[in-house]
Amino acid sequence: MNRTVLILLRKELLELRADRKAVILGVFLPVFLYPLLFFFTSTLEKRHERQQQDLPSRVVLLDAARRFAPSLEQDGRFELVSLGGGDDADAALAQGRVDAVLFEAGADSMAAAAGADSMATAAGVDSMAAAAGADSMATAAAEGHGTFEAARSPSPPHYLIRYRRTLERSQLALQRLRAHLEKVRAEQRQEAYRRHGGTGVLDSLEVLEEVDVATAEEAGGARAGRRLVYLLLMTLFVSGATLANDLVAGEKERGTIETLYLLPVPRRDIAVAKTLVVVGGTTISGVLSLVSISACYAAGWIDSPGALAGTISPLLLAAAVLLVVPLALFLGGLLLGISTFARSLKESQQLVLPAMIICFGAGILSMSQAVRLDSAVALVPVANVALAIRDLLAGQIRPLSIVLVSGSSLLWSALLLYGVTRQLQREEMVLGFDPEPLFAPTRAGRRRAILLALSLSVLAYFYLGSLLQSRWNTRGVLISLWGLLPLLGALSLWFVGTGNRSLRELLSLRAAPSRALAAAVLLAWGLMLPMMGGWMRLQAHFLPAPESMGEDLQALFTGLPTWKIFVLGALSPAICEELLFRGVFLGLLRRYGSERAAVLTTAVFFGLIHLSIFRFVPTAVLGVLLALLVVRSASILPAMLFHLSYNGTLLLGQLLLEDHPLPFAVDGALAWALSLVLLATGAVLLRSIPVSSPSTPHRTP
Amino acid sequence: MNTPAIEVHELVKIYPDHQGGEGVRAVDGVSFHCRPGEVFGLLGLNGAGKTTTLRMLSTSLTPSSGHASVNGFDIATESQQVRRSIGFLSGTTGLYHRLTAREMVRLFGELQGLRGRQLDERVDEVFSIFGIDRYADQRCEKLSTGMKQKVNIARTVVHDPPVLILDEPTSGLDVLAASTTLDFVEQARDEGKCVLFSTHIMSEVERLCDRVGILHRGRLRAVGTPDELKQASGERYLEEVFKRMVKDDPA
Repeated sequence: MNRTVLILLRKELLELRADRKAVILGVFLPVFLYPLLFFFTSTLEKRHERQQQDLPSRVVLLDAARRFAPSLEQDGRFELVSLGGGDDADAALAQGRVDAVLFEAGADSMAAAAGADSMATAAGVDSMAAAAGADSMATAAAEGHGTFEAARSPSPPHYLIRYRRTLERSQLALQRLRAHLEKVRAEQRQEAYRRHGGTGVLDSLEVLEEVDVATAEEAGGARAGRRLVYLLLMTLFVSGATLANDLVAGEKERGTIETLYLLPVPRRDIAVAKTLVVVGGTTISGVLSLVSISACYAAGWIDSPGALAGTISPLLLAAAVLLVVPLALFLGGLLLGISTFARSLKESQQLVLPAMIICFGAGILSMSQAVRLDSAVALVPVANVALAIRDLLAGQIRPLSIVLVSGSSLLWSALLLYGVTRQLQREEMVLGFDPEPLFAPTRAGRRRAILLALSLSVLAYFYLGSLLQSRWNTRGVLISLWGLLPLLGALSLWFVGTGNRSLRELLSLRAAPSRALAAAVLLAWGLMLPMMGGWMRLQAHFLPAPESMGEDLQALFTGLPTWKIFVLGALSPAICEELLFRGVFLGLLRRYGSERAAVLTTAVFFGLIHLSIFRFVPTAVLGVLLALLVVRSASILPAMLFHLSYNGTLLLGQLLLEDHPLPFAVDGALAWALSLVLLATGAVLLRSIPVSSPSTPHRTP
Repeated sequence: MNTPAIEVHELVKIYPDHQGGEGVRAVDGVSFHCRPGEVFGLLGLNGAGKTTTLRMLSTSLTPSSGHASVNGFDIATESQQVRRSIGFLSGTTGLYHRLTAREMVRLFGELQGLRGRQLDERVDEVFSIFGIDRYADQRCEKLSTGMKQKVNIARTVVHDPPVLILDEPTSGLDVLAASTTLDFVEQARDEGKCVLFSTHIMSEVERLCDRVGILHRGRLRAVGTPDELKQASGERYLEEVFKRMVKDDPA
């Protein structure tokens, strides 16, 4: 690190030393407040539980259930309350004056109450075939030859326990009543068994025990994990935002940043020093929180009362650090980035809020067991770490997932920090002289707008397209191609603007030279073997595709007439995908940027739209060729023809050679030689077309 | 002594209009020069282009066209040398409130390339020149406005720059603090520094400026000594000269 950065770092630290607010939020919060909070809540909960255990359960017995009165009184944990009837009992239960009502099902007094409409949904009904039926069952068992029917008749009396799930005391009453009645039943069965001459202990015949295979740490961790995510996010946000706001927006507001930027020091050094302080401070807070929460957990302060105090192994802590540090880097970078856009502290704080809400949304995801940490989610910043921490503490994470989450977070952070340091070096931006809006109508601004539209279109096409296809099958495919794609194209054009070009011109909608059309067909046919027989086979060695790949498509096409398959899989994509990618986006990108960048960008996004790592390379390569065809011929038609020939031949091949999933499974030397000749001829033909620009339309003779 | 320390030639700054329009010509072909030992005042209404001109000269804004040099260094290609040659002070320049006066001035000295004993001596020297020794170890936020301004000036000159660029340095200051600033400008001139000074306060111009440029709507309407300007226009006071030039072509 060079001297200037060190001097600037020292200045930031000197300032920080005197900034009590930042120190309190970054250090005091995790080190003192969390333990204090946990200690008090756990003490309070334990005391509360003890108090609850000491209180008797107030139970109402109705009609036939009154027979349990003596044994309940003897138990000592119950206080029997006498009330007029079922309605009174219901009211008392609703008001919390009694904790449970025991009655026999079908008895007149509670006939209505057993229905669904008489009480709030929070009221529960617990039923059990209670003690009396045991008599006949025990009889059968003792005689050793009782049939099932004999045991069932006469049918046992059916008791119901009404309670209120939202009241802790009512829940406890339910547990106690249930345990008590089980005990009474066991005693009565034993009694009946003896009466019929049985010897020994009846219940030794059947013993049922639950064994939880989760360790105490895992059980506690699964509960603690969700709280931990929130606390961590809160700490990181609070300390990161405090630092970032102060270091950039605060300096702007106090008028000190201008003097700093007028010094003969590289702006990069200023940016690096500020980034280091924010990111370092956020990371320290994150690690402190982690250590502090771990200590509370080890002390048994974080858990539901009664559970075992957890122990945190060094390995677990190391894994957690591996997850938290990249998260801190990411959030630090994000908050710093936000503060460079703000002109004042207040504005910065306002901008931080939406980011905070979005990140906490990711935290909420970790609360849901329905969301799994798969390889796609592992790439989503913040959400990935939240889910990984949840799974880590529940002992349900694979080391590979930790590496993937940590790695992808680090990658995101690196990208973000690179952008932020670049942003901080833009003096005009930082000093607020001349901030250019992100999507200003300059060339760079338009390019950013195009990239945004392109990314959103790819996401929308993928997700909505999949949804349509899964809901309406082939009709869904047609809707997504002929409805969704044109809509996305229109929206993108509306957002970016056509840049004074007519739509026809922008989309290269014009006749193509016949040489270009011929080249398109030759290249499509020539490329098929190298792609399918060459690349895909090579790729299978280092990236084997799952066997299920392509099954969706096959299932979709099964039983359809050939022409329909052709329309769905070749003709429609050739027209609609080309209009969006090689029409709208290639046209826009060429209008506002270099040709080469336009070709490569559309190709990469064309690869991404197939959102499968196994198909990325082939589709991106096709994307390059398709774009080159448009650039070279100044018309979109050759690209459409290429797409049609490529998809069409593949599909027809698949239909004709049903046993071979790929038409070029047979790839002799002759087939390769033919492919190369086709490719070479196509390339020569394409090169022979005179270069034309989009503004000078090519005319066919 | 006769080589200008600041030379400005046909300087233009156009702020782009992000809605796609032509943009605003904030500075529109300004030329002037300023010699060592001279105080040059840029006089103009708010929005006349004073701050933009000074920011271009201090290299924090890039000119749209034209060129300028400060202390012999080109503002477009030698920005680091330019920054080393200037001390920049404006009315909105703040201090690091949580640093002490000494930490603050030392920081700027260090970042200007001073180190070791040279740095210590220079910091002590400026502190004694401006009479801030007694407050040197107090946090800037605890200082009075006048003392704050002195620390700010000490920060500006800690590296002993040959050129001072002062953008409305007295705006927002009370009489005493403003007077400290004006004393400092006189002292700098006596030391042979080149001072470029923007203001819209006539009394400051009359007291300090050897030459004045009247800037209006991005263009320099007149350049000369205060007496020359008065003579040329036949007015008795500089304020009248200024008002007439601005009135002829209202903003």
